[in-house]
This record gives sequence, C-alpha cells and structure tokens, in this order.
Amino acid sequence: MTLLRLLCSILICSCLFNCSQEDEVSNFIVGEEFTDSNVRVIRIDTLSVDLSTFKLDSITTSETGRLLFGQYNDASLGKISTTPYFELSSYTYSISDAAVLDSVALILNYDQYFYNDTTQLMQMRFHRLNEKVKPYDSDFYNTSTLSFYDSPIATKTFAPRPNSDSLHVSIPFEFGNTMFDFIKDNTSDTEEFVQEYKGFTLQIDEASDGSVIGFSTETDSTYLRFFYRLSDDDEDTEYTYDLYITESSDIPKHFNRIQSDVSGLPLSNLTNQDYNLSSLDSNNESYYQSGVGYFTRINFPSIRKLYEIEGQGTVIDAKLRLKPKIHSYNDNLPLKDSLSLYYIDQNNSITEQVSNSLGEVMSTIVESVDGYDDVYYEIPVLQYIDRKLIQSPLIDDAIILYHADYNKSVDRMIFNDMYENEGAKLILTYAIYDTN
Amino acid sequence: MPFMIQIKNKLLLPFILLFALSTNINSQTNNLTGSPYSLFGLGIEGNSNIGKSSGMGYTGISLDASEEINFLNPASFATIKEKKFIFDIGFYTQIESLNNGENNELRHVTNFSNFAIGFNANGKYGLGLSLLPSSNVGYTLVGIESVIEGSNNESYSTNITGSGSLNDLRVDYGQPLLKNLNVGLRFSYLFGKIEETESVQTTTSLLAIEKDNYYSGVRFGFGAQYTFLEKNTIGLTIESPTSLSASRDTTTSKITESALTTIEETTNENIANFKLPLKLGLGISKKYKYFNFALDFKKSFWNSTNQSDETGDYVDQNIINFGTEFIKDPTSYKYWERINYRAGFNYDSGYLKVDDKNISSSSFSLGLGFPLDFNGSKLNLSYGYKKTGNIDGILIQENIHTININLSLTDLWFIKRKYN
Repeated sequence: MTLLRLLCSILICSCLFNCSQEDEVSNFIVGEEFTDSNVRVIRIDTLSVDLSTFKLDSITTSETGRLLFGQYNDASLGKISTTPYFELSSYTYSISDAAVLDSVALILNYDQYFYNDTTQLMQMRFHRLNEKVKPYDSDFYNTSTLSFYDSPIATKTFAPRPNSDSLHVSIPFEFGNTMFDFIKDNTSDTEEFVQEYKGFTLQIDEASDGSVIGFSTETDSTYLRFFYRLSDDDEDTEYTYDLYITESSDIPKHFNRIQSDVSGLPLSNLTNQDYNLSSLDSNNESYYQSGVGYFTRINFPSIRKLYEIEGQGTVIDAKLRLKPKIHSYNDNLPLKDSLSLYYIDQNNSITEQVSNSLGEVMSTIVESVDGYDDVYYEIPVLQYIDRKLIQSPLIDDAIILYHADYNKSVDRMIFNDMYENEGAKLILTYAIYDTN
Repeated sequence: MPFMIQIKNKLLLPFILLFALSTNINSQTNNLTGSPYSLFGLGIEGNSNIGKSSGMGYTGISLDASEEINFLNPASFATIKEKKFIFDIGFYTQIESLNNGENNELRHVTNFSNFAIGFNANGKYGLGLSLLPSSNVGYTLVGIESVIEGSNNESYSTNITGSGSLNDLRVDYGQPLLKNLNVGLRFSYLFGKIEETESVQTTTSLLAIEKDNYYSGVRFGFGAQYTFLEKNTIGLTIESPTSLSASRDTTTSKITESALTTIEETTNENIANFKLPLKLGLGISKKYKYFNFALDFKKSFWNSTNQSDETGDYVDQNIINFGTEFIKDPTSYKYWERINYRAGFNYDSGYLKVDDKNISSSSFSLGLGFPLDFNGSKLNLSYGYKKTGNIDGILIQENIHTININLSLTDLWFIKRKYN
C-alpha cells in the first residue's frame, strides 16, 4: 500500500467518523448546585390591575339576523329594553282578484337566544312605522329609532319559550284585509308597497321586567302570513301569502334599538365614549354589557415596575384572572364563554384584536373545584404586556373583553376589581436571565 | 523510486492542506466529551491521542521522536532522523459511564483527535506542524427542577448544554544544541468556540439563552532533552502562562404561546479572558534490555491564575505518569518481534476543586504498536481506563473507557532528484 492510498483511505475514514458522530442527548440529572445557571424564574402577582368601565357611543345593530325583544331591570346596569324595527316585503305582489282573506298572523320564530327571567310574561305591541326603514348613513345603531303610529296594530301577552318553535300574533282582520286589498289592487313592486306600509316595530310594555329574547329574521322563520281562499267549482282551496324581512345588500332592512336607563347608578356618569368610570367609583366593580356597549377597560399601570427588578429579564407567562362578582351570574344570567380580546386606544376606540401565533387570544372560564361560586376568567395577556414594556411613547391604551355576539345580545357581566374579593389579579412569570 | 517519491510529494501537499482544512472545520463542530466536568472553564483538557504515548500512560517528556511524533516535548523534534517525514493522525472512541450515587448513565463519543506532520529536511533541525484539541466541552444537564420563586410550588426545569472545543495549532522546532542535548521551541495558536445553551422551561413557556464564546491566544513552549550514559534521558518542558482573549455572542429568545421571539442579541461582547497557567514538566526515561521505562511529573500552576468558576475553584494540578514499552527486536524479520507492547498509568490531582474536593483522576493504559514497514510506520492501538471524580455530595464519578487508534506513517522524503 503506498502512502498516497493510505492517506486517501484515512481521509475517507475521517469523514465517516466525523459524520457518524452523534450528539447524544442525555438526561443525566446532577445536583442543581453543579450548574452555573444564572436564570431565576419568579412569580409576580402583586402588580396592580386597573379596571374601569366605558361606554361605546353606538353599536351597529342593523342586519344582525336577530330581532331582539324584551326588557329587564338590573341592580347594577339599570333598565335594559330592546325593540326591533324592520321592513316587511315580498318578491312578488300578485294575488288573484278572487282571493278571499281568512285571517292574518305575525309569526315570529325563536332563535333560542334569551337573557334573564323568561318565566315573566311579556307584553308585545305590534306597531306600524310612519317612516321608512332607511338609515341616515349606511347603518342603524343601537341608538337609532324610527317613528311609529301610536296605536298598535295588535297586542300580545305571552310567556316566552325561547326553545320552542314560534310565537303567533293574530292581526285584526280589518287591518289585515286593508293590507291584503292594497297588495291585490295597488301593488306591483316593493317600492309601491313600502310607500304605504313603511315598516313595523315590536314595542315592549313599559312595566315589563323579565327577559330579552331573540327571533330569527330568516324568511322562513319570521313573516306576516295572509291565509286566503280561492273558490273554484264549489270547492275552496286554501292559500297563504307571506311578507317577510328580505335580505338586502345595501340598505339594512332590520335593526334593534337597545337602550338602558342607568339613572341613579354610577354608570350614569358615562356620557362620552372617552370617559372612564373607575371601579373605585362604582363599588369596586366594572361592567360589561353587550348591545348597550359597556366594556371593562383593563390596564396595568405599574407594569414598568418590572424594570426595577435587578438584571435583565423577560416575562415568559402572563395571565389575568378576572373574577365575576359572586351571585351576579346564574342559569338565567350565564357567563359568556370564550371572550376575545381587543386593544383599545386612549379614546376607547377599538383598534385591533389581540392575537398570537396560535390565532386570536381567548379567555377561558376556570371553575374552582369547590363549586360554581368561585369561577374566574383566565386571560392570556402576554401580548399586551410585551407591548406595554416597549411602547414608546407610552400611551394610555388598554384591553377589553369582547364577545362576538356583542351587537345582538344584552348579556352583562360584573367583575370585581383587585380590592374586592381578589377579583382582578395579574399573574406574571418572570425570568431573569442576566444578573449583570 | 526517488522519482516516484517526488511525484508523491507534489500530489500530497494539496491533500494535506485540504485535510488540515477539513479537520479544522470538523474540530470546530460540537464535540461532546460527555463529561459534566467539562462545564468548568474551557472544558476537559484534551487527551491528545499521542500514538505511542497514549499506551504508556501519556508519558513522553523524555522520549524521542525518531519514529513517531512526540507532542509532549518540542525538543524531541530534533530526534527526527534526517530526511524523514512523519505523518500522524488519530481517532478515539470513548465509552463513559457516569454515576452520581443514584443514577448511572452511559455515553459514547467518537472523535478525531489529532493531525500532525513532522520532518527533518536537512539533518540540522526537526519541524512539526500539528492540529489537536486543547480542550473539549460537552455536557448536558437536563431536567434540573426548581420551584418558581413566589409560586405555590410550581416548578420549572432547566436544561444546560455545552459543546465546543479549543484547538491548538502548533509549530514545534527542535534542534541539537550540544552533544546529547536537544532543545526545542513551540509556538501554539489556541482558538475555538464554546457554545453554552441554557433553557428554562415552564409548563407554558421556554426561555433560551445561547452563548457562543470565542477564545483565541498564543502560547509559547520550551523543551529540552539530555541523554546521558547512552540509555538515560531526562526531559524538561515549560509552557508559558497565557491569557486567551474572549468574546461572546449571546442570543436570548423565548417561546411563549407557541411563538418564538428574540428578546436580545448581542455580538462581540467582551468577556473575561481565560488564563492558562504556567506548566512545568520533568521526565526521565531509561532503556533497559527490551524495555524503555519513562516517568513524567507535571505541574500546572492554576492557583496563580486567580480564577474561579461558579461552583469550583482552580487549584494547582500535579500529574504523575509512568509508562513502559517493550519491543523484542525492531529489525527482526519475525513480525511479532517487531510489535511494541506498552503499558502505563497516571495520576492527575485535577485542577478543579468543587465542594472542597479536588476532581482527581487516575488511569491506566495498555497499547500495541504494529509496524507497517521497516521505515517506522505504525498502527498504534491503545485502551485506557480512567476514573474521575467521586460520588460524594454533588459530585459525579466518571468511568471512561477509551480506545485510541493512531496511524503514524514514516517515509523518506527530501531526496534530490537524480534525473532531470
């Protein structure tokens, strides 16, 4: 073997050796003292959490697919009432001249949404609008209203059954027949029809204190139905003709007016969207109410105290625990699960949704082992904290909890602040990685 | 034949360069020595696989280099015979069992250990060029559980890994000064990268700190060998203390909510130099019949480097090596009579003191040298068993089995062309 050949084989060998060398991962455990670890991991749950309540000036409530109807009184959030406005029309207006009306009824299909006490009777008044269902700009809001004729077309007192099929409201024959004749004789299209019958509203009796329920706006769920007969060779055949809430791509055809009367309550101070009602001024509570537009504003004013900890560090986990006030929720007033998180700016305008690499950040409800009385929301807030730690210039932004149904429901939640029942607690896991 | 050698010479040089380059790159990659003790300082000082010496308990300060390169004393390069060219390459494979009194674990490492050439072109002096690891770092400490301070017994775990090596690229020069007295000088360029990664893991998140430490520096060595009464040699080596300049690149990142964020990145940060101590070595050897006996004593003055680690201190280190070699007759026509048989042991007091205990080690080795031709080329195999540390307190005992494979090729070069 010549030297050259040997060398070549060594070269190949060495490559093989080096390539086959493995970095073996080991799990050998030795005493902690043996390491030169400089990392400290500490738990910090003493930083303050500020809760306050603000109110959005308005919420778009048009075209939500739900007619929201009802009223209830709440000790903290006042009297909430919601009344739907809608236009009824059809795609066709041809009814035989020989048609004879039997009866007319408004059919309202429950969509299963309810809030608060449905054992209380409700009184519904069906009114005719005297202005068209047409917004000033492109949308209707929870504050919008349309004028209607004082005297109702029909009145119905009923026990709401949100899990059953539908509510049937009989329309007086006289009113129905006039309408039927108008369609038969004078209507060829929707424009002509809504010129006369501009729209309708469901009004709730002032004294009602029970629940808020939802009706679906699907064309096969909610409609004004005319039952009529056609006589042919001594034989009567029964027919129906429906008016319903048509879907429109540009002009909204229905909306809900959602009002709350908070006079005498701390919330009555909220007259402007950029005004914050501190939990300290509202019984150590903060509020959330969809539909009306109350949101709990959460921020961590002393978060930069983390900089006072010696050494370089970073927050590796941050959870906010938010406790709903005990006894403020029950089966009639359920807590909303899966609330998402939004950033708001210093004017309380919603800027963007909080999301991380897994998608949108959601809260979860954690129930304590010893019963339903002690539940809390666990909210991942690391994104917000990292943002606050590096924000420059520092602005008074915050995060809010927000439910996807917020424009078509009236759910409310009451949270305790950090001074009440340890209601709000920020739990940070902080790693100090450089003590120099 | 001389013509052939000439051609070989021309072909070989690019090969050697290429090889040097490739080993250089390879020796920069992760080398797990497998020893947790390597987390101190710049790791475990390299047991350079010195062909013959590794079978003789790493003895060699007073041994010559007439047939094989001797890395232990630059003066030995003077003994390379005229017009001889020696090429030396080695590998080792280690099986290591770790014991902390409760658990046992086996680790296995195979690695390149050295590459060297040595020659004497004109009979006046010997020169050597070699690349060998000076120290190796390779440790993993996994699953160290700690409690999050201030929490209700929630724990996090720390994983620490280190890898890398410090390489020694050296030039040795040796020449006779007086009759029976050879002296030598060494220039070492030490360089390398040591990576340390520490990660801290909670149930939801992970924080990782990666430190890449770069070290470089030069070191000088002096050696002398004096032969008296023909068969006795004493040797002396001095290695200068040196300070390796160091810089660090650090990347700190975290994985939270499944997203990786880089928190901080620093490059070229100045960190404390690492000091290597003055090292003195004294050796004596005696040839007796078929035997050659050698005894070395080495001392490294770590105390005066005034360095300490997080948990350990550097203390003066004493090493005693004893080795012997037997060969019946190197010129015999019977192959077995030309085989070298070697044995040795050493004791190393260690340079680390942890928990008030020196991390000492002792080892013994057995070796064989198989001649490949009549020029002195050899295939050297050796087996070593080493025991380091003990299982007291936080310490670990390591039992290391090492097999060294070394190839030392010798040829006649530098012969003038006879035909043009």
